[in-house]
Amino acid sequence: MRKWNVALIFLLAVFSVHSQGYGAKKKAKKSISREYGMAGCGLGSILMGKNDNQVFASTTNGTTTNQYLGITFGTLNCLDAKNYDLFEKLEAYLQVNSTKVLAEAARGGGEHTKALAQIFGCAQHSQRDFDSAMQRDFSLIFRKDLNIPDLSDSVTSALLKDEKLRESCTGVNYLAYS
Amino acid sequence: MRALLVCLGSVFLTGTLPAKPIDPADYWRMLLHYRQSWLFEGDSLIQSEDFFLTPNDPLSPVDEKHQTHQAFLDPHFVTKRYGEPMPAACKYPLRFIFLNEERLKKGLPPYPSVACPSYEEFKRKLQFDRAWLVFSSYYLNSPSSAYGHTLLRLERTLADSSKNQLLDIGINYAAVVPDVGPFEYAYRGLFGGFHGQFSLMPYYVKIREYNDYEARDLWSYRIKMTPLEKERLRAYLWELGGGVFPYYFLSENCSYHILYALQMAFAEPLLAQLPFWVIPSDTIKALAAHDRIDQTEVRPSIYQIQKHRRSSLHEEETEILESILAANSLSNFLEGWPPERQMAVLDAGIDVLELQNPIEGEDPKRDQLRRDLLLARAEIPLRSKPLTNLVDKKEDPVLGHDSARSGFGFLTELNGTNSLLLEHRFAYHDLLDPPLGFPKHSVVEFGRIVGTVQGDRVALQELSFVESLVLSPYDPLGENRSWGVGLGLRDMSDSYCGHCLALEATGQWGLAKEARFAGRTFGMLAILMQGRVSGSPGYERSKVAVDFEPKSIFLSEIHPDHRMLLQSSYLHAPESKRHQNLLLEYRWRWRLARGFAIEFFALLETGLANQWGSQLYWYY
Repeated sequence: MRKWNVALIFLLAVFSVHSQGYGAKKKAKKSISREYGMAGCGLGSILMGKNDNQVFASTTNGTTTNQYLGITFGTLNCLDAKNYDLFEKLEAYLQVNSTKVLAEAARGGGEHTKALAQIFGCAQHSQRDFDSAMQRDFSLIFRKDLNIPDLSDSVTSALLKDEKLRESCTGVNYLAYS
Repeated sequence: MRALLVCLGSVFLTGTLPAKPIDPADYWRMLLHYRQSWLFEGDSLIQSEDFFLTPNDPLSPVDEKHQTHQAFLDPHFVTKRYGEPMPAACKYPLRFIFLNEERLKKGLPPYPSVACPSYEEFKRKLQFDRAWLVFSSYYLNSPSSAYGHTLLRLERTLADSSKNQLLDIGINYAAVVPDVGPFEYAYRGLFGGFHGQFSLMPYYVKIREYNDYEARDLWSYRIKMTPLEKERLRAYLWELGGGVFPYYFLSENCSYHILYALQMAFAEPLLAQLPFWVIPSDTIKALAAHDRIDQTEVRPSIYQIQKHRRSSLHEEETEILESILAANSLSNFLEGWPPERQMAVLDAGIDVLELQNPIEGEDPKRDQLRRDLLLARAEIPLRSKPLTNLVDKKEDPVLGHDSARSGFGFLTELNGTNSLLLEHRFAYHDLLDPPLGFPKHSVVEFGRIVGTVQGDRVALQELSFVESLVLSPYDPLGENRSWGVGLGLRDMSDSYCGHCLALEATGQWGLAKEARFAGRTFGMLAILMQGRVSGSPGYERSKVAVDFEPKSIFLSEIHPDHRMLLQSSYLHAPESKRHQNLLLEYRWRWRLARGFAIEFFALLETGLANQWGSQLYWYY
């Protein structure tokens, strides 16, 4: 029973973000372009990118026995999106892993914060600075009840404010100026 | 026969099978997922209409090969893959590799090459350094996952030359299961009523699902692959694409298709040594038998992580943690404590909450407590040490006994009656089987049949379709459910009828606790209440009977090669001829060697002659 509850909540979370978060965010952010039009797009396309609609565009089959999010091969649901890769990778990652990222950020770092830094394109030598910033500014970055787009913006903003991290995390600059 | 002996000898002596390539004619049929036997008319398992170039009604492998050959010869021949026009060589890259090799071996010129931008892009994005076969350990809360699950992880190097398992690629095969009732679920699962499909995703999705939501350890086995084999694996995945298969829980399941993909990549008959039913851990053993595994890793579940963190707490810290969790508030429990001790309690609390409530929003009070713990933890500018070696390597599923088991022995009643005992079990594990590689204190059995031979009379004593029992040690902060279910046929002579077989369904529920002495666990104690519904046309009173049986179990685990079970129960069966009876059962099973065990048992039951006996078991 717990499994089905988990699956349902997970799917509701995914769809609620897609249906609420994106439209609202476009007006609020001037420096970040978010032309999503993402109905039906999912984690398979996170992996394969926006141009692989004919190949690996995806569905969210939350009802499968062995998986909460299944991304099947070959279906056709994903629309085009600008700045696709980084935005999508970041938000998909946080959608699935936000509680793990928060736990490790509070503890001063771990593999989930490392993956987050890697998605931002941070140089390996800056990992300790990245983790320190996440822990030091935890209450500011990970404010209560942030939805996933807001959470990703909050992390991005924190990195932008840090001169060293802004320098060493190439993806941050991409998000800021795209 | 000689070849068979050499082959078996090779397996027993070295543990590996000689690498023998698949016959080309067989490989072609495997590419099409074509099957033919005395029972079935030949056809492909693939249910996607546009997968073939010739009609699939039924499929002719010869015609399909001829048509494919003609299409490869003509670079202007265009077919469609999910609506996208492309040359046949682009749609079928694995067929192309295979038929091209055949041509070259015959001294013929290769097929004309064509540009395949979509496939090339796919290959670029599916670049990987290594492939891992991942076993998600047993999940006894779900019937379809009770035997575990396998998937592939493609290990990648990121743009900055770093690696991170979370950002690898997961390749999964699963059934698409709509919302159906348990009986329809079982029926369709057993008889191919669901569709199965491959899917791919960031590997972190599977980590989150298995490690955190289901608290299952992930065992990973690094696969030895040549560049050509990697190329074939990518080509197979592309070629199959969204191909739809009927999904059978017992045979053509997740592990079958994952091993099938590897079989196509290696062109070695990996599946040949498996019986018609496919158990996930057996597929890992098959890979190991072909000497295809060169490294093993295990990624601990959140259950293991929180258990480790809690075990490192002092008694006072444990009490404080329990108080925090009971009060749902951090309050000032940790006030005045040194930062290191606060950190230990907070880290353990965060992980306990992650285990108990992995999804935010289910319990607002727990969410608030988690947030308070995180904020308090972030205030301590210390980094938690990485946790290592949390999972006992003895739990590696590869070490487990083989899943099928046959038994032969005798049963003696103290009134002088002697019987031969015969037993067979298709799968998988019970409380007394060698514990290495299996979930502790559990029974997961499918298809167990027990019979006796007395003179010229052969009698079926029991046919168990499925049986599960999970004894979870009591933990004030963890899950404490000990439960079991079963369905089968049983000889009810001496209770509800003179001589009859009855269909029975059982359910058990109770509590279990580890028996510890001087800091060492030496067994498990459990108190269970079993309810049973049974029915047979041969029942003398009502044709359906309900009875209850409280029972106590002590399972001794002093030595993994010597397992002992002492069980007592009191059966309250108002419809039975005996109404009630007491049973005392003792079993001792001794693992003699890999694949063999002997059991001695004694049964004392009120109103019946006491029994004792012995059985020799063979696991294979």
